[in-house]
Amino acid sequence: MPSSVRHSRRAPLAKGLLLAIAVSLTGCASASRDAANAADQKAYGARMAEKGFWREALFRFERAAKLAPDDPEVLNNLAVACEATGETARALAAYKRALELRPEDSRIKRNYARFAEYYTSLQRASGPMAAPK
Amino acid sequence: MRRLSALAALLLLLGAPAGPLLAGSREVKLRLPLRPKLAVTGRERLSLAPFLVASKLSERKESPRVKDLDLDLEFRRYLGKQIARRTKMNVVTMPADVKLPSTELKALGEASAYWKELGTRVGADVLLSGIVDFRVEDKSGYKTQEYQSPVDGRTYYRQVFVETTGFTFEVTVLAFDGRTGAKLFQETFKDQKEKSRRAADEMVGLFENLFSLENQLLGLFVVREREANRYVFD
Repeated sequence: MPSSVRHSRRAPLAKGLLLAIAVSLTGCASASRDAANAADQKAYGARMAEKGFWREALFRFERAAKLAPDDPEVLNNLAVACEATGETARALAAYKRALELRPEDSRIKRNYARFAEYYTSLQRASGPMAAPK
Repeated sequence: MRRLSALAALLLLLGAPAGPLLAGSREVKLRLPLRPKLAVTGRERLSLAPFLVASKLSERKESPRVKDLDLDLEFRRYLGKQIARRTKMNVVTMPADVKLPSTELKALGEASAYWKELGTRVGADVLLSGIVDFRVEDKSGYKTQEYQSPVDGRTYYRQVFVETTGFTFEVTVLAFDGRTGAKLFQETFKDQKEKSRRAADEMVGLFENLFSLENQLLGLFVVREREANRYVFD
């Protein structure tokens, strides 16, 4: 068999291999791009939170959480923004998930403890609350 | 060269776990809403029925100025003014001839027929009543004080007589549904203050107590906010 024929038979294999590498590289690049975007959104959201623009901060943290759903820092920030905008049930879920992912972080633990105190008082106030008919 | 790169790799490895712990964060302030005790829309018609005065019931030795003070009237005037100013509730004037059905707080809470009738008469959605108490007490006594001797420069302790007056204001608020006469809630608020001089003014003491309780009392009817601190990561 001539060498050129042998070469042409191996060509699809090589092409497939190259394609696989290219796809995996693209995937890596896309993942790192997502992480970078999430970090940008998180940082911008944190600046907005510091200025008291909680709606904007929440929007940024939501976008960051979509890009990095298992980032405890993003989840913590999302929980704080939810708390500030009155979405307490969502804040509770986000805090819990953040603590699951990073149980040793003193800042998340502290945030959660303070939130839990507020959340409990809120629940207690709404429980036996009476209303005139 | 190899050793250097190995050392750099080791340092990187050691530093890696510390990364998340040292990540930047900032402390932010947020304002959290606190729900009112009474589930109101905020536009109800509210009326302040007379309050029982505990000081009159007991035989405490009060100063003449406190004895002359109509505590019920002063408290209702103050509370009514605060509610009208800081909430959207409509404060309905209570007729002067209204008399409470009992001098006991428990009985007041159970007199639903009376509150229903009163609510219909004044046209109020919510009626407030309860018991108020204001006590002026002499808290003077000997206290240990530290002083430095000008002779030898050493620190000594001495007993000094300190004249102090204590003001205690306590109120139990009962809220009733003006249409059904049912008791909606009962809550007690208490504030204590001490003034350094024995001649501290009783009326000033009373209003200082009331100012301290103002937010708590209004918290029964309006959404309040409280400031809180949280950490967010950069």
